[in-house]
Amino acid sequence: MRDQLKGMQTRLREIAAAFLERPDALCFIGWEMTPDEKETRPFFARKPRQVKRLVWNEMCHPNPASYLPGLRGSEGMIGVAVKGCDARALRELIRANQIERKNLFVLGIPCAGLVDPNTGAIASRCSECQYPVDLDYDETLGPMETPDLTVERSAPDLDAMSLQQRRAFWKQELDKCIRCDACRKICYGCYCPECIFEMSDPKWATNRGDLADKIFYHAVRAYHLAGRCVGCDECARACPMGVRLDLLNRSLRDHAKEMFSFDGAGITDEKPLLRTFSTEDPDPFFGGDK
Amino acid sequence: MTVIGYMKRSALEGVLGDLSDTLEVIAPLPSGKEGGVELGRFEKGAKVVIGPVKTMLPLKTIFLPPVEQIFRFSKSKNETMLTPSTPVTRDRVVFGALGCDIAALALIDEVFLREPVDEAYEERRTRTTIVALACEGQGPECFCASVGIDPVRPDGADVVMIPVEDGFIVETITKKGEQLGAMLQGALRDPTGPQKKAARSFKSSSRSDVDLSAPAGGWSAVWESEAWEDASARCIGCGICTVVCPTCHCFDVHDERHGNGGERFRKWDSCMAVNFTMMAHGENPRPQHRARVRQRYMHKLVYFPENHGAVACVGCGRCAVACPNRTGIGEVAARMRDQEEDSDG
Repeated sequence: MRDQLKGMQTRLREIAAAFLERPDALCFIGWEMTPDEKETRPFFARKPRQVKRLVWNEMCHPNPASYLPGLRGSEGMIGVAVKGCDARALRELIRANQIERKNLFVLGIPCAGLVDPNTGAIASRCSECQYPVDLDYDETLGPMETPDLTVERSAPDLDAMSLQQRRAFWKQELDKCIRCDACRKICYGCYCPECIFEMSDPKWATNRGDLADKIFYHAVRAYHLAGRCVGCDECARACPMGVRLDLLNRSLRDHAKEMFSFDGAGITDEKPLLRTFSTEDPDPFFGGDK
Repeated sequence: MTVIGYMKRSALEGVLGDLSDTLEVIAPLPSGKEGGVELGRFEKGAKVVIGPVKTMLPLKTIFLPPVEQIFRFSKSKNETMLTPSTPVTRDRVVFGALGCDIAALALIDEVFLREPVDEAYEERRTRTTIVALACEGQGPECFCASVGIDPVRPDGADVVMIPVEDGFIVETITKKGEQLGAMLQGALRDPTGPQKKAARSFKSSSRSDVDLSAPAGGWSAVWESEAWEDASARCIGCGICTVVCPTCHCFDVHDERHGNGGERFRKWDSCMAVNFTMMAHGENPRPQHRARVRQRYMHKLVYFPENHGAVACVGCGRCAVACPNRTGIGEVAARMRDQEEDSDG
């Protein structure tokens, strides 16, 4: 396993270096080790000689694709390495015209599961691993297929809770939030040029920072991501206070599947959930199930 | 500095409980995050966490709260009423403060206690007794020793508790500390020889090799350096570094109206936020992400020393821990000194 990862890393560096030799290459986004050597972080290689800093291993949690909307309009080609969850995000970004495919050099990486640095087990995000079927890669390090993983979902069963229990759970969970906005800033899908939480005129949200504000912030974010969240769980990783945002987004995905048979974020060509309308909608307001 | 006695670890919660009859007691308590610890109001029956975990939010939160009401206002027919807020209602004691966080208060004091004095901040400072926990180094990120802080008997502490076998040697440092010490007497006994010796030889593992010094030619020489591009490319601009930094102290003032009344409050702001420099007329003088990243480090390492005589970093290492990309101030300073691209790789 280790040898295999090492071999992939060598190949990744070769491919990135070859890409960066191109006169139109701007940068190649992959991962490098953090200074403590325990985790990885995104790395923007700009010169071929910098590729020796690029790594591929089980700690490559960050999603390089989430930087792409910020680079829209740059002169030159952007190289980006993507594993399965990143590939789903990339596919959504291309579909949403947040980045043009023709400006990208995409290196696909078959990922056999990430490791949670705290537990040493396979990261819980990997329970939802699914590779998009039709993303065209410029190069890959192997077959881009969904790996066969058994992952423990260590989470309270929200669906088994009563409404009151669930409300109490989320109140307690969201009250930990300090509104630092890391979840929003790290999210591939939060690419609005101006977020409503940054606007002061009109001022949509208060700045008081009490529980109601925190719930408002997370509810708005969750709804905006319904049908777009690809389950990369970067929000939960970035949160300094340990808010279980992965559960919030996962339950939205579960509900989208259950109520609207929608399982498309980053995987299929299904229309984005929030852009569809059906008279079969389960909500009676829309003429569905009475 | 006077050794006033030895306190058993098991007696601590009882002592804090007794103190809470007359004082507001603040101590490190388990937070909602798994294994997390934050400062909070101690209530009888609570369990205090004393080391080896650093609170994610620094001590500044109890002197400069994240959100702080300044006054409430209400309007009737012909009259507008202003009701000023009360910063603290009781004298307070904070237990288990760390040297880095206490040293940061001296830096923030420079800002808030200079004329014009910030009254709410001053009142909180005056009415709070600080009990430090001698720190053996709370994690690999710690480098307070590199910025000249004594994590064992930090300047600014009123009382110091030094961990020795199943308890603490308690030392008083200031007048305020002596007053608190008198209230602790019932829980103290005479320390044994070995306990005194252990307290004297208590050492910290804080790193002393983190270098925040200026690049050759000074900071102005690297103002336009491409190295800022490196430092800012991976930065997502979330601003956690400013939230968890014990010396960051910027705030914004908000008025919010509800019906015929409302409130004015101040709230922490962050130089990492796009809106930090947004002007009322719609112009933003610092619109580029890269310039915002540079501002944060320049403020810590250049402007604050110029204005107040000391680097605004106390070596707690929280920035590197909280950052989703684990970027710390020491790493950035090193990168700026070494302008050779990818020399660190």
